Amino acid sequence: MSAFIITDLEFRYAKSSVPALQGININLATGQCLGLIGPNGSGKSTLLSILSGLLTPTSGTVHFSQNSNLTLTKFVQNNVALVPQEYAFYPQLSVAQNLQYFVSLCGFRYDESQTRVKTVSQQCQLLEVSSQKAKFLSGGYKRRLNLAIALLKDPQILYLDEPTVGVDPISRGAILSLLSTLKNQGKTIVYTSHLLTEVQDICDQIVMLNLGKASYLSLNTAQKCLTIEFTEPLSRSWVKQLSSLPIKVDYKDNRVKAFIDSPEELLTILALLSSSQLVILNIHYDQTSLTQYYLNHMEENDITEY
Amino acid sequence: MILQSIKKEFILVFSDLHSVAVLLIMPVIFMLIMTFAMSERQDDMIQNLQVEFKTNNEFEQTLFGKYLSKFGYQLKPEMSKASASLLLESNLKQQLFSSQNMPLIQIKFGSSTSPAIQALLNQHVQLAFARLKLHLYMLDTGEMDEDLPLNKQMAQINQQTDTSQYIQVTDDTLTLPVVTYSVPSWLIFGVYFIVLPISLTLLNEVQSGTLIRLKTFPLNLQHYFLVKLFSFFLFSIGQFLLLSLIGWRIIPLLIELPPVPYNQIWELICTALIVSLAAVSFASIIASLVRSFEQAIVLGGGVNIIMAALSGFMVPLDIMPTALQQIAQFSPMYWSAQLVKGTMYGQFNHDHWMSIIYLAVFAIISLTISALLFRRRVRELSWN
Repeated sequence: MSAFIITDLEFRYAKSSVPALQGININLATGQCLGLIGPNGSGKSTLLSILSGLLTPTSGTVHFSQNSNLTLTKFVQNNVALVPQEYAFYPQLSVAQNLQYFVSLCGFRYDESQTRVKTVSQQCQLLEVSSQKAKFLSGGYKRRLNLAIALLKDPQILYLDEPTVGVDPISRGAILSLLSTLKNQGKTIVYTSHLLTEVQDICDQIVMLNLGKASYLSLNTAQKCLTIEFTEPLSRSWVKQLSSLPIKVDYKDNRVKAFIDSPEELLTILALLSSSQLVILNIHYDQTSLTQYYLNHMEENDITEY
Repeated sequence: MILQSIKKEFILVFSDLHSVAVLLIMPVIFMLIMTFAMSERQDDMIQNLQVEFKTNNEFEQTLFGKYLSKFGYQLKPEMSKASASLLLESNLKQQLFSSQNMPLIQIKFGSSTSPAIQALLNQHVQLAFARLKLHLYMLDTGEMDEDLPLNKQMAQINQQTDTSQYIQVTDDTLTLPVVTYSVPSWLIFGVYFIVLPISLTLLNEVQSGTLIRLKTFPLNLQHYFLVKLFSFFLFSIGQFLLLSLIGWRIIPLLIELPPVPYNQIWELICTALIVSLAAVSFASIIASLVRSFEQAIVLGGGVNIIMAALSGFMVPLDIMPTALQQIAQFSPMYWSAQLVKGTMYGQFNHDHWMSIIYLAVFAIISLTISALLFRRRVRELSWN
């Protein structure tokens, strides 16, 4: 079952001739995680604003499958939670006071709200710091509190905007592990981050936005990358032979990197390299990382990230 | 939700040292300074004045000096830093009764002598001259026995020129220590500074993304805004009552004066309610308008200071030009101060009821405008 379906979405800011988003089509299944990646200004925040009901699309539709007759704003208020990149809480209040305040806005009965605070504090491992003022927390705990507040209303869909920026590996691990647990519990997640390894690890579907247009990446069928390191730099003749292959090949000093789309391409390049007299120091063959994908895409489209 | 919101706003205000300073410490310091300043009596001010008096020891000149000294002035022939310098013409008797109106005394004021002191000394010099002239006239006509000792002659002149028995002051508002008369102004000044914490907390919520987060919570943000204002309204009432306690009870004790009694306690509570409502509603407009901390401080603080000046808090309205006095009639701070003065120093009358009506109308209009501005602001929110 789909959590939401976006169809032919277009959005233009007032007084702007260029659309901030165009031709966006996304179908996200319930309990899955959608990764939104792209350079700054690519349209990620605009898309999240539309999904949150903060902006109205110029054309196209956003349909939440569980929403029968509510307005988008009402549906978002009841079922969706945001985790902004900023620390969207009150630093002068303690962790417990922050949670008590935000849960009081959710419309629960008193006993329900206390249960929610307890559950979320445990989920986000905040119990040991509950009496500390939020401003004195470490970056990792601040991020967990930011996430915990979003979880208070027990949302079906969660939007996270770079939720692990500036945190240490242990806290990052804890946050990602919690997100995996939430996903397993059937929560749908929309995740934006510039940390592409995280996106690759946690997301089931990845949409790369660039200048308002979407590229849909399917990591399961992605091309693979062959990296070979030689004991000495490649000669000009070898570089010339490699360049003549119908395969995308990068080379620098004593390293060759080839992007392989089929087993035949792999055989071709291995045959060529085996006929050489070069001594191989190291060889690596794996799925192309999202980072490589991202950089290739940027290079192919001649995009400079700001 | 309401209780949690009130708790949150109180914690936010009390944890911000700047807000506490602006709302509580600043008005108390103003009250202290003004009360201590006004506690110095006129007699003390005159005694502390350095007045240089240059004569060539003629009888008339000496007599003038004695009349002037009766007001409490310490006259000395040579001074390096005099507040005023008096130089008398010689042969005063002849000059006083001549038909020519010649200046007989030159008064030179020091650069730091205030206009009020200048006016006071001018007035005393004229009185001393009038007494001198009468004294010389009575000696000349024989109505005064010139064999009487000089102090008895002077006592006779003073008695004959004393007009105090002809004047009756019937102003029943002047029943309390005059030193506390600046308390209402600084109390109101402090209460209207609620604009800063309201603006700053709202700005923090916008800039940290909290308001966007709240927009996705199941609550109406207009209600949220009203609850926020209600929290600050409660805070403002507390601030009003605390400042009134400090101004009229604690500060008089510090200068060994009896505390000012709360004779109209219900009127004072009503005044606290309506003044706080007006202050919070005015603050809500500024809070909905400003987009940065700099704007909040300049607009919130600046508007308050200008309004206080126009309302006669810094310079008494009586000595302001008529145009400025008329502008004050449209200032909510002026209405608030008049109301507080009426509650503490007199009887509630028609003017005070009018002040209540003005403040109530002002609050309703301000709240309506701020609700519209806040709604527009919420509409503009988007994920950054």
